[in-house]
Amino acid sequence: MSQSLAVIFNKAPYGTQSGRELLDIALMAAAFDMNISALFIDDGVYQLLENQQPDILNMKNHSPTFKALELYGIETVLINQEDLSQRGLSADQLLNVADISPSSNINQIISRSDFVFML
Amino acid sequence: MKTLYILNNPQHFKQCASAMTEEDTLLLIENAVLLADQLEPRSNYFVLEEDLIARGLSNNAEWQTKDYQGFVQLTLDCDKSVSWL
Repeated sequence: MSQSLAVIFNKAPYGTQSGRELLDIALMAAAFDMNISALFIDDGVYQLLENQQPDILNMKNHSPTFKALELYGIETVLINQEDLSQRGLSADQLLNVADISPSSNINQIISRSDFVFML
Repeated sequence: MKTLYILNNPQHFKQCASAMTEEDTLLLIENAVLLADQLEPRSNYFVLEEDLIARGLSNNAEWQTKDYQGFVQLTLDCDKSVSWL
């Protein structure tokens, strides 16, 4: 039975490279027949905002690449419901790549996963 | 699955604690050891002794401490470790 890896995004984009690097890691891990879940919590929910334009800062826009998660067979892509509402964000402002999910469900996946990775 | 959560950033305590379940263990290391004076001790919370000593902090809040040896043992006792960054 293949092992499971949870990749947790908990930082906003562009202030650190954590989001972009975690995305690369998730996509690479997907090539190794692992059962992967990408979880967006706390300020990590900002990673999935739709109209990011970091080119104004001469920075690469990694957000379109989140669409590749599903392409690479990563089906469990969840974004934390409470963290979204706490930040006054709604589903229609987000890239359509993640299912909105309560903390309890996300915490269960973190607990069940064989490996958990953050940056 | 019994998970050891290793926290080195005091600002992420709330995040990390909310991900933990009853059977999980928390170990404060590096700058997160400062929290030992601010938070209530709990049976599944530990703080790394060497980091307290290095910072001249005496453990007056009766938190359970672990030295490096104990840290290694914790990683063996739990099914997996998560460095909460």
